[in-house]
Amino acid sequence: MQGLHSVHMQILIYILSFLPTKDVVRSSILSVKWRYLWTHLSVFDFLIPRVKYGKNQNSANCLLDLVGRLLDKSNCIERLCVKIFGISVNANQVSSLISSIAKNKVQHLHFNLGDVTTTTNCVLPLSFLAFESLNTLYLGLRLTLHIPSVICFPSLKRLVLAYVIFENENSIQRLLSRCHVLEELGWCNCHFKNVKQINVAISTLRTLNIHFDSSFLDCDLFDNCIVKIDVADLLTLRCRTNPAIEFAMVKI
Amino acid sequence: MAAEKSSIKIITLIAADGSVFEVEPNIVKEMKTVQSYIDELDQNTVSIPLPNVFGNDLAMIIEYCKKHASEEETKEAKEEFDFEFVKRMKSDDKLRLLQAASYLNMESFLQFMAKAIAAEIENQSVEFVRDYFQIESDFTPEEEAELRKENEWAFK
Repeated sequence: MQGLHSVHMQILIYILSFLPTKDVVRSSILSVKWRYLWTHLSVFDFLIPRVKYGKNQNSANCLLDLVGRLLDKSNCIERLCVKIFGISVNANQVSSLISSIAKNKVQHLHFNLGDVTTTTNCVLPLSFLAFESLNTLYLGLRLTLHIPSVICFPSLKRLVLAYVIFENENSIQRLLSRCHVLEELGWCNCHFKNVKQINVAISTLRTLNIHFDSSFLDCDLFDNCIVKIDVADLLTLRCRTNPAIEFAMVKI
Repeated sequence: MAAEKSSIKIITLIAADGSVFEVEPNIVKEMKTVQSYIDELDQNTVSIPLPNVFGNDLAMIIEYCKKHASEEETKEAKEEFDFEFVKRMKSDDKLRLLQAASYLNMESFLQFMAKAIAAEIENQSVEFVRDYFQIESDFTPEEEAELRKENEWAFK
């Protein structure tokens, strides 16, 4: 009953669960016993905010390394959020992080690294396990996304893509066709290259948000592109685009 | 549920230091450890030894349970009570009560104490937290420096 020596590890982890991720990671240097305690938590929120001065490339790499080590160590992450603003990050690092999420049954995944300027390809890993549990996916990456043909998101309800680059119609269509229970879909400044028509035909879809601003990206995002919406029960359609895009509603 | 079916009118709790507390069944509803004892019995009175909880702590826990089990108290009054309850405690008290809550298997009281402790160490230095939990660092200075570097993001 003296001090904290007899406090069960499980209770310490429970206390940590009420703290912000920064405090949680800091607990790793309290003592040897505490070193990996924090990796047993299931919710993490990593953020590097936009700063006016003193941008530090190294700090972004360092954070992604930290997240990588966490993913190697843990198998109980349910919710992972990584947001880095104002610093470009290494695309390979991001790609390898997405792969190592595979062994965690993540339900909520939020990657906002919209400042990645490289055009390296990023392939969503083939692992099924990784995405079986996924309920919410936010990808804010200025990367070309390749969608392997065997990918599947059986539980995905909410999908938001920002700054993502699709090489052709096939890749976007393949992604949409693998989300069988999707309820909310959002595109924010995605770059659809050589895409003439996108068919949105997911029967469970209730909300579709499209936001494009060509002045943000110096290219014609939606040149002559038609978005064909074939969703009987769509409740909300929000669209803010510049330039205007053409919609074709089917069965609404 | 089971407590209502049972015929027990008064429960005697005996703390580690021998102090005795007599309480009504609805007060111990949240103490699952105690509840599992009385569910088995069919008699009017029962006394339960709690060798892992000191009298002072048990008194506080019972005070908390009484307040929260009361149907006359408003939600605001209970919140006010919680606020004052935590305010008068030292960090040692909180840690002991947390352990007691865990032993007694009291879900909401455990959460209440864990949140109170978390609020105190949030945004504090490593040294503060070590002091709070009475932790002796067993890292070498080199190991600690290395860990600080690896986890640099958390130290800014």
